[in-house]
Amino acid sequence: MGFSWVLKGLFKSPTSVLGVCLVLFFSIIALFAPWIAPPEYPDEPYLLPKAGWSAEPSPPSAEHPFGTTEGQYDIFYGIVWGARTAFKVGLITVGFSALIGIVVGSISGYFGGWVDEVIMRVTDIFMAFPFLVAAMVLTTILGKGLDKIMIALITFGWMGYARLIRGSFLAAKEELYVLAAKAIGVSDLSIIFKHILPNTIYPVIIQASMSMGSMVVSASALSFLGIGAPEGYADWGQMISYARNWIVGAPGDALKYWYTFFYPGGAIVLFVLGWNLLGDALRDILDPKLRGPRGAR
Amino acid sequence: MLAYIVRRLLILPFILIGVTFLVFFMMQFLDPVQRLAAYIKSPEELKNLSSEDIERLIKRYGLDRPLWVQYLEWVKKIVHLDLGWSEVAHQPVKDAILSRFPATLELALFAVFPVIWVGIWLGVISAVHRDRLLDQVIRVFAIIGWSLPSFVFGIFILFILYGVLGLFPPGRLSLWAQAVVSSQEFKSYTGLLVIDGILNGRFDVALDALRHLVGPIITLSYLWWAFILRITRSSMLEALNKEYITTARAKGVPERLVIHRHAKRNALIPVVTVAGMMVLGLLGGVVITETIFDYPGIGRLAATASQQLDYPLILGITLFYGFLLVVGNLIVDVLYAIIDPRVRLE
Amino acid sequence: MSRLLEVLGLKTYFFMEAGIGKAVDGISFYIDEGEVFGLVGESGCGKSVTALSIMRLIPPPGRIVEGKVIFEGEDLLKKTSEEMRDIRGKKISMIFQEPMVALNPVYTIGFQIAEAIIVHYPDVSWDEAWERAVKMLERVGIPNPRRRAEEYPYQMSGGMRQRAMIAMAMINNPRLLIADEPTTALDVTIQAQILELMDELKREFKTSILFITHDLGVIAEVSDRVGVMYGGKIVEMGDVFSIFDEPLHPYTYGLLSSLPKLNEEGKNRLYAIPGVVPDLLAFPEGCRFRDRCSCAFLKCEDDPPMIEVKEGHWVSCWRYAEDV
Repeated sequence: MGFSWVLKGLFKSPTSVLGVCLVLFFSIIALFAPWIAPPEYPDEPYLLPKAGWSAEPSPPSAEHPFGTTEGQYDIFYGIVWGARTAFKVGLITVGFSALIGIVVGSISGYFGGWVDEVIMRVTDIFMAFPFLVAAMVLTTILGKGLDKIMIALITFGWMGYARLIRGSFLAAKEELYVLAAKAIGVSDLSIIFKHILPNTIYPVIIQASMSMGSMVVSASALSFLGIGAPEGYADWGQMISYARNWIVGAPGDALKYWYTFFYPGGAIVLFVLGWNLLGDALRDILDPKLRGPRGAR
Repeated sequence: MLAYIVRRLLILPFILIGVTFLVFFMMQFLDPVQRLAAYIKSPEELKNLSSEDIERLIKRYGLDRPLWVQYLEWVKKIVHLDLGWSEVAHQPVKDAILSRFPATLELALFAVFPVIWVGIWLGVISAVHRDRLLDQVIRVFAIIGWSLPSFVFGIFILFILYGVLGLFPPGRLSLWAQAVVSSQEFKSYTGLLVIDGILNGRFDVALDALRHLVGPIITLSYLWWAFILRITRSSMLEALNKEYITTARAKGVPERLVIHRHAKRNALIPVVTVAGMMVLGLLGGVVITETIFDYPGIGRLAATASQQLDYPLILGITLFYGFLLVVGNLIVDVLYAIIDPRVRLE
Repeated sequence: MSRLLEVLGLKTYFFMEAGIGKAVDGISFYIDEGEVFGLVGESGCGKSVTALSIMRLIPPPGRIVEGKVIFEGEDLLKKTSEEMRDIRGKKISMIFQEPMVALNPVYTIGFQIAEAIIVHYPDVSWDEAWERAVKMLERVGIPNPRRRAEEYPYQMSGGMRQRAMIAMAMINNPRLLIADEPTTALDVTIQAQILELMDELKREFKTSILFITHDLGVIAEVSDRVGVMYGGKIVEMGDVFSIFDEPLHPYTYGLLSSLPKLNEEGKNRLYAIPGVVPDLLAFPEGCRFRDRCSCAFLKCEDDPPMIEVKEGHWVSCWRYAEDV
């Protein structure tokens, strides 16, 4: 399974092409944010510039292409820098969750026996809480801030990877080559790194790309509830919570404040859609179990 | 099978103890004064606290003692369902949770049917029409639903149902119905307003309660169809590829029965687990959806507690969730074993 | 004896991304009433696809592209799907290699047999259908049939499951039974019992059998006539004695020479022929066997005709063409 083969698979179906394009689109926005929307306070680029002190949102204009939301925060600026926030949150939480999961799952799967039993029961305990509630509680206890959100998401986000890796380990252990490697006296660590991990990494890649979207949504959900990002921080979830009071519109004009919801809502939906389509496509390509019978498709 | 249940029951207490460990561990990030809040039993204790009083209370509840002593003291309180005083709800944490539970239960009961039944139905259609137009449409529909954050879709639904149509308002009851329910004549049998309304002969109240459920149910349905649909579709495809399907066709079973009797029955076995998890999720309250629709269930209570830093309430709800999920998962697993004859008789 | 089934120029192709797989490529044979026709060949030669084509149960991307399947004087390929459904399990029924996976794991044996009655005779009550299922289970030699009918497939042994499978296939007294490797997954002793049972039932119900297997020993034991398949074509066909006593096609010859002696319980080392069966898409043009054939010559690059060497003994090989 070469890299070029994966690439070829990605461009086979229109949905996966859409996924790749969306992810690329947001990557470019996030990378070039300082040029697309130059910050007003260069020291604190993630703080949204305020256009005034009135609470009421104002519609798109030459100065504010997407309008301003509650508290006169510029929506365009928020979308652009929010993309950076999304990538920061997504990459860090997914990266660390996967890392912790791989280490824990490897230990559990490799050693088996009581080590495995204990680790899996600990995993059960962490899974005993609904993900969002657990993250919400831990964020509340740790205090406001994006870093606290990320710690909370990682704390309750690693278990899926651990189970995945452990499962692959148990399957791989049955295979002869591991026994052979053990018989000629290769050390435990080198067995893990050279023989088992390379074979078990595909499911992790699939899961990671699928959870990019859900991690960003969870972080935004906490910001939406007002327990995540600090006031005025460029975060899509928070921008949607600003829109919440205006969504019903004015009497006789339900659509009056559409822009407060449309842009941040659209941004997060497309971001998540992109990652989900990408993850779905990767799963189709990398997971032979899910492919059709006898190549019939 | 019996051995499996016994094994699970034996592990259960350890998991529950683990859950308390985890919550207690999280408590340690709070300073003693914040932690003290979890020990207060009534608002009187909180009034006019001087720093000496706080010192006294910290001593009294042993918050300066070694961790394991604190833990044991704390567990002793939990066992007696003494979870402290909630500032936000103005009542003991236990009562706050219990009083919100009927609302959450009612939403769960009404959402379960559309979520699970329609989800399975769509999944079966999708699998039967594999790779044809209908399948593609359903899959696109599902992947959009799966990508919609609840706080985006929920607000959108609220906007359509209330902002544009003006039909289905947020909350749990209209003001007039609220007055009826809190009056003397209205007896509360179940705490579920639709059922209580019917039992009291107040169909207008029942209808009003139902009207308020529409928004949350639509939101939850669309967001969760994606999951049920995906797993139904893939296990249905797997089942349709099995040889017993060819056998069924070879003995002349009509295609409708091949799908709904022979394939579906097998395909639904893994769906049970996901459906069970969903019911548990609903019973635990759905934080975002309840918040958006201003629906007074446990999910919104948890959100409010977090926003207003009501630590005793947060920790109480966390424990509630932990116990609910641990016990609930056990029940789901046992149900699973009962449905699948292969597991049942092992 | 009259013709029960006649397959004429049947072609079933699989349309895959990588190309067209000609799983069955123009085969013709017939089965008379009360006769057992054995179809033998290595796995992947198109035997099972032939069976599924007769039942019209070819899964996509496969499709019957050409030919006729005349059953009781009518072309099955021209029937509507509802007419075809009513024939399946009533006039033509089928048993499979792996009774474990061929029986639905979540329904009882009794239910699955009774269902076969109900779908064809909706007027029969479930109670009566169940009674008949129990009787049939008894007939196929399942002890304690009333209790066994309440059991699930995985509670039975392999031999019992195959008996239940046979009961299910025979319950509507079909004219033709298609048996696709019915003994391959079973122990040798159980194999013999199942073959004996099929022979008894054949006489009792006057059913013709299309018996598909890769096992020449079994074929010799049960068949009246034999067709040898290779690469989607029948390469040789004749009564069982002429095939085994004087095989004409090099492939048949190769298969037989790997058997120690005929009609003996032997170890079936069939693969003495050089090379392996190629992938469905990789057969050569002309005679499909020529790559592995020791006596192939230039002419073999063309499609060989079916030649009747002796009355009722056909072979598809250029060596027997008179004008070469």
